[in-house]
Amino acid sequence: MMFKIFFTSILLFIISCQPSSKQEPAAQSKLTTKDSLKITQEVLGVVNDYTQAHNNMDAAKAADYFVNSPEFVCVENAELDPSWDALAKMIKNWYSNAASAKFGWENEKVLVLSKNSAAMTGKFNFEATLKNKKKYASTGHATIVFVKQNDQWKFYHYHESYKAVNK
Amino acid sequence: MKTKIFIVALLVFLASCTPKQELTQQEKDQIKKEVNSSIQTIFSAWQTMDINKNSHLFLNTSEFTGIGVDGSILNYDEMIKMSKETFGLWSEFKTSIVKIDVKIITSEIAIATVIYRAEAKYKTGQVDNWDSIGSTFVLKKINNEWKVIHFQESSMPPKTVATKK
Repeated sequence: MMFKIFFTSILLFIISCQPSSKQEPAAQSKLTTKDSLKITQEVLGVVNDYTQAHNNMDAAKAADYFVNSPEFVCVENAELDPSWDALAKMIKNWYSNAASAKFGWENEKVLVLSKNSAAMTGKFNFEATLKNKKKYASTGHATIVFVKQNDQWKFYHYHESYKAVNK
Repeated sequence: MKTKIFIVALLVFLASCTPKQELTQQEKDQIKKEVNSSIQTIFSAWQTMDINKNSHLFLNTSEFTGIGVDGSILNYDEMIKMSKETFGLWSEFKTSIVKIDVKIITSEIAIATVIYRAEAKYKTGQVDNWDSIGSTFVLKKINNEWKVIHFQESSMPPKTVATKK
């Protein structure tokens, strides 16, 4: 009987110690090359969709890639954006005045941090024609730290430095 | 006897799964304290222009990426080289941290956002002032030390406030 108790306990211990899908284990679990490649593809896919949202001037969709949480941090040219709401409002206002937009990335590099987090850097180029026919262009570099929450990769931290050129 | 088996199994289940999945507030506080301390050490190394100390605080790996205020993308060696060259031009460098925000990703990964002011005095006598510089430090805990694995800085161009010695 003692053996049965021992066996049952060991079995339950093993089952209960499996990592939860919702919460990353406190200790870093081992990342395989396969994991890293998969995560890299996933976050680059998210960046591609985010880029398309800008090209379609879909402000709501673009804002939705950023995590809507008090944890979210956004730095633009050394200034902290106060909140997700402020960022979403800024994107919305921007596209309400734009007639067309072209956004793209180059030299993207992904650093996989854990099974549920990664950082991407890249150079971005942005061009837009405003409704008043004025042209706007900017180029710069960004760091995006992604965290996977509820099976979705979200921008948890965003930092961009750019130069704007009013044409 | 079945009841005993059930109770023992339940106790093992509860004991084994509860604390391992999520960091406790105490653990979070400890991580924030450690990361804050690492950031203070980095700024101290910058102010004393101690290149050896500075180099030790960043992770020497091919995965490291640094983005400088001028938009340059640097690997570890390039960043250390640029730091050496820049410190070589200055006679004094002062910083004043306005805000540090630490976010914990896992027990071994954290992000520190630092907003600070800076003043660099060149050996030529020129003095440059930055009203605000934003820094993102992605840190990883390796061998019980927090090291910067990714870094980006941004700022508006500095104001030159003096040009003579």
